[in-house]
Parts: sequence; structure tokens; C-alpha cells
Amino acid sequence: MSKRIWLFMIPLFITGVFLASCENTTSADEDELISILKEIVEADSTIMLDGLDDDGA
Amino acid sequence: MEYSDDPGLAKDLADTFPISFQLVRFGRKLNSNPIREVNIELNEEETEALAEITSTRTGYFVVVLRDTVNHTIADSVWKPFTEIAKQKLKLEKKFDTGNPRRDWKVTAFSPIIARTVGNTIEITDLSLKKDTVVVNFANDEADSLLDHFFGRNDYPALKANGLYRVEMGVSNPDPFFQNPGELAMVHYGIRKGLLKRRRPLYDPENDDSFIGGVHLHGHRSHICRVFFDVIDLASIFDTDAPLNSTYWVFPYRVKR
Repeated sequence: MSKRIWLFMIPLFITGVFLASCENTTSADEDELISILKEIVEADSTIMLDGLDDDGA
Repeated sequence: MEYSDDPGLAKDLADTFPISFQLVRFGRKLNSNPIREVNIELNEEETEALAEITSTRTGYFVVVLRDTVNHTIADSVWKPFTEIAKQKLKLEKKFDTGNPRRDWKVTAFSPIIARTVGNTIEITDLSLKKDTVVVNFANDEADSLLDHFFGRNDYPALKANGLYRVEMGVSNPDPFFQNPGELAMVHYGIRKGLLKRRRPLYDPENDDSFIGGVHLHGHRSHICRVFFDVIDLASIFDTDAPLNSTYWVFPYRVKR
């Protein structure tokens, strides 16, 4: 009986580890993309706040 | 404090306060560069994103009472303030090269709304018209103005050297006792970082409906900015009152 349980648990464990690793990879990719998008936003000239405190209009 | 010996302050005074009061002048003296935070929301397909930018500036609002006989400063007050400005941008994935820095582009951006922390004064609506209405904005408690987006090529086009009428609605639940209790201004310029013109707006009926005229410049430029700001006069004339102000900013281009 216990052998059957182990036979059932081991594939389940391996599948779980695989899914968890997949999820982490996706999350990391999304974090990296968001980080890059922040860079793009900060570098974009349409952010009109720059210059409010200088001689600009 | 001799503000004439302080180039930063003198400049800010000039920027902020073009009206030639004889006795009282005021302006903002900033402590440092703004602290900027960007929040990104991606759609499920990761093809579009919405960015909200929050810029926080701190500094002192300086009011000086001039002694015009001896040409000195008779008195002054420095009020610390914090100002928070918000703007939203839309980003789209235009290409699929695998390099997000190349693939993603900012495609649209909202006006900017800035307020001092704890402010009670608000701009409620704004229009700019010549023969027809060119700009017509309104805002609400949810700041829905930030959901109005200008595309890269469809922000307002104003006629070079044109004369435009400005109408601005203000909400000020606890105004200074003068009539009106606010000072409203429009600032506009040739391009970012260069020149500005400033015009006061008037509230002849003292009903928080400010009107005025803007005589546009003739220079052609990619992008110009116009600022509409309003300040409660208690900020200037009540020593104990905090800086209570707000402004809107949006871009325009000039056409011949």
C-alpha cells in the first residue's frame, strides 16, 4: 500500500516542482519587462514635468 | 534674506509671479530634483501597458515684503511645501524583435495634474477657444482628466500668433476673504526649457470663473507646454496658511 502511495506521490512532486519553476520564470520575465518599460517611460520626452522649476514654461 | 542675491529664488519669483506688485512678491524655492515613481500595469497579452508617473517635489514657498523706499526686504516668510504631480502614459508593443527596449513605444500621454499636499483648491474645467473651441477639459474627484490621452501626433494645434480666449473654472471651498480669493495664471512657452509668457486670468464676477486672453507666439516647435495654475491668496497674505495651489499642464503645437 505504501509503495503505491510513493508511486503516486513522486510524479506529483516532480510535476509540482516543474510547474513552480515555470511560474517563477514567467514572473521574472514580467518583472524584467516592467523594469524596462519604466526605463522607457522615464527616458521619454513626453514626460513634461521636467523643467517646471527652471526657465521653461 | 535678500532675494536679489539668490539667483535661484529670483528666477523662481520671476517664473511664478510676473504680476508687478510693488510690495509683495512670492515664489517657490525647490529643495532638490523631484522624486519620481512609475507604476506600470501590463495587459494580459503583454502588448499594451499603462504607466502612471508620480513626481513629488519639496521646497519652500517664499513670500517677501519689499521696502520700496530703502530697496530692501522688510519681511519674509518661508513655508515648506510638498507638491505631487501625476501623469499617465500609454505604451504599446509595436515590434517583436525580442528586445523590449526597441519593441515598446510610448504612444500617448495625459495632461499633468499637480497639487500641493493638503490642498483644497481645484481647477474644475478649462477651455481654450479662438473661432472654435480648441481645448475643453474637465476634471472630477476621480481625476478622470488623467484618462484623457493625447497621441503623439494629435495634441492640440494652435495657430501661430493667434489670440485665444481662456476660461477656467475653479473650486475653492474656503477662499481668502479678498474678491476674488485666488490668483489664476496661464504660462506658456516656445518649447520645453525655453521662454515662457505669462498672463493673469481674471474673475470679474467673483464666481470662480476665470477668463483671459493668450496671444500665442509664432515660433514653430515640435512640442510646447501650457500651464494653468491657481493659488489661494491666503498662501501669500496669511502667514500661518500653507501653500494651497494646483496646476494643469498639457502640450500643444503651433501651426502657421
